[in-house]
Amino acid sequence: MPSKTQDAGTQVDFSTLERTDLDAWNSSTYMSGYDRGLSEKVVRQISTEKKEPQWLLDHRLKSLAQFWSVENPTWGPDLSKLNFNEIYFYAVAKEGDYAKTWAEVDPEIKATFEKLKIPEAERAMLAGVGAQYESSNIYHSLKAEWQELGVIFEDFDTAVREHEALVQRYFMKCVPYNDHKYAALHGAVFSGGTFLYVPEGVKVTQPMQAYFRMNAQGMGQFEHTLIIIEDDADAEYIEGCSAPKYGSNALHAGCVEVFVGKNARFRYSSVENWSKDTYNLNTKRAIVAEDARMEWVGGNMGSQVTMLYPSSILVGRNARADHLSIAVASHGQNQDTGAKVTLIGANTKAFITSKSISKGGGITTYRGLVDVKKTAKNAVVNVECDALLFGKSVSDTIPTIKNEAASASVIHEASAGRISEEVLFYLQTRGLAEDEAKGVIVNGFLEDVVKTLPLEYAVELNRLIELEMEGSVG
Amino acid sequence: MLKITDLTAQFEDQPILTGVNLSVAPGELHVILGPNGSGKSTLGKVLMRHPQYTKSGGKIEFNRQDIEELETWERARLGIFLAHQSPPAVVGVPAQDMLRAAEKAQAGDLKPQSILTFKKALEGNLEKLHLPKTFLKRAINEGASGGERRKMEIVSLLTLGAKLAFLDEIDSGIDVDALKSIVEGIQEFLKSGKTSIILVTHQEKILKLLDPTKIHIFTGGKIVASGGKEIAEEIHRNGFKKFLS
Repeated sequence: MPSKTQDAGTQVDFSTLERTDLDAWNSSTYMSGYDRGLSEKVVRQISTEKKEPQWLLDHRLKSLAQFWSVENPTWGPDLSKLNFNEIYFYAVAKEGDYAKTWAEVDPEIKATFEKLKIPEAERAMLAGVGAQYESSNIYHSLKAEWQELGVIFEDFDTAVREHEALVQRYFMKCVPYNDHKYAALHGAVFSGGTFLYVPEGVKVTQPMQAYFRMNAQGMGQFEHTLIIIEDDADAEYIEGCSAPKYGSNALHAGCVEVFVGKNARFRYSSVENWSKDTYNLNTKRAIVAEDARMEWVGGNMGSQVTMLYPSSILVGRNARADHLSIAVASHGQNQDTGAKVTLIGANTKAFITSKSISKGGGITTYRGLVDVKKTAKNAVVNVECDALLFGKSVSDTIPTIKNEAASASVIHEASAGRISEEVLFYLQTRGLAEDEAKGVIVNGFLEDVVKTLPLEYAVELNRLIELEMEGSVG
Repeated sequence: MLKITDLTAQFEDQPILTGVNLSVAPGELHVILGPNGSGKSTLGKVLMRHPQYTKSGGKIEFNRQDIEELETWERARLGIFLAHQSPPAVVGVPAQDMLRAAEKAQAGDLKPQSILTFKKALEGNLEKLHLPKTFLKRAINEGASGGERRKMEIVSLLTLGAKLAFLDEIDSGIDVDALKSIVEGIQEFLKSGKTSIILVTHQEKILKLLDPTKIHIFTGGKIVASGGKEIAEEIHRNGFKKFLS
């Protein structure tokens, strides 16, 4: 894995980030000129405005038809209140192409991103930052050295224009449009996102980062992230998501596809902290080749409903996947997360660790699928899911295990601990206020997992968890 | 330092404290003796505003301040330490981390001592109470015997410091050696002459090892008699009979 290299003395101080920073919003007059709701008209408008090639328009229309023909899943959290007619599926923040340097960015948009510390992060430790505002990239820059090595780190629209053949070869081949209802929706209205291509043998030592932002009331986010890591390459990507609080249902049905080549390494870290009225129905999947290694690291905090199951398909022999997820659900939230691993090659391995915290009546569910095919001789799967519950919160574990390989070993361990009033009282008699007491318990619960995270990610994640534990009712 | 006047309290609808009166000055060691079920432990819980108990009347003043409105942690930060009768295990949190977090919380805006100084003091206190260093990294009280947990309460007291310590049945169910270590810890705490202790027990054997300023007899939810060692003698000879009305 890439090692953490930082310029001396330029640490980003995420500890000063307040919940109110994340909930700040700019006026969104640019929504005028776009229709609410989903229709062929909206889909064609997206394609026309982006000047897309015919094959992409065809794909959108095919996906739209598929979306209308499929029902919502009958399992998991209730999605019946999601009203597609209320949502803007596409809107553009400002006219014009994205800026290459911070100085060129629109002032109002800049102010929002300044609050979120993006330029500091860019200067300090990251290889390049792509920042998304509503559905188009405003600011994107890539450090010269990576460009020289042939690394492509672009916003998705630009990638379609400048690397069409490459995109077409891989686009929605990992997550096909007919995979499920929200993959179909995504296929129809996807906009923006990131394209990352790391050529054979290239090792990128600094993590790359894109920062999404969902702003206006009722907007949906359907960014597409396509990542191709060629043989023997090595890279890391951090994705952070945030949105302010709003009354209407905001919807996030993004898609992340990762192709990890032979003997390559890739880590994808994300913090999903959408506002408390969002439906986060994201799809993340990786196809992992022989001797390669994929790491999914995720923190899920915000949003009203989350259905997120990062998936790894271990195709080649000796392929390996590590899944790490931390989910926090507070009052009114339902975090339905987990992992899906399909083991096809011999000697493949999957290690899944899920830590969930529910407080104030929140619900967390670990939903996992382990599918070991007959060809996965000597495969090893270890799943550990631990739940921490405060008060009357709920936590559930729903593992599905299919094992067709006699020589494979599949272990699933689960634990749940409910923090009693006695323990909280005990800590308070030592001078810890109630939130501080909960924080101490949460830190202890997450410690062995947080230890393994990249530093900058761990700091932001800790701060977000702290904000969550402060118990503001969303 | 502490003045409790006509304190009454209940657990749900059940009255437990029926009018406690107690005054403790700095440097004093008060022992509250009483049979099981008399409500002695409840006194400590109400002093620290345990959520399941309701104060129904009376007043608690700490250094002349009425602490009625103060939350549990605010009372702890004022300098009142409760050594619990059954300290729970705080799973997943190493003792060292928990105590460091408590120390920082109590320091408030002031800078806490360096982590090295803190660790050294904590290790020293563990040694005094004859607890192994492994207790630092273990979750506090996890897998610990009753005696070990009581000792850990004293370690916490000495490490965090306090003005007034309420020790709830610190001597019950522990062996002679553990009791000796705890008594030494108590004496160290009182060394300065500025701190005070209220020690609650139903056994009079600890009185032989300490030199209390006052002994109170607690039955039926209140203190019914106070005095010196002669009261302890009465209990030793005849039990609590004389004081039960």
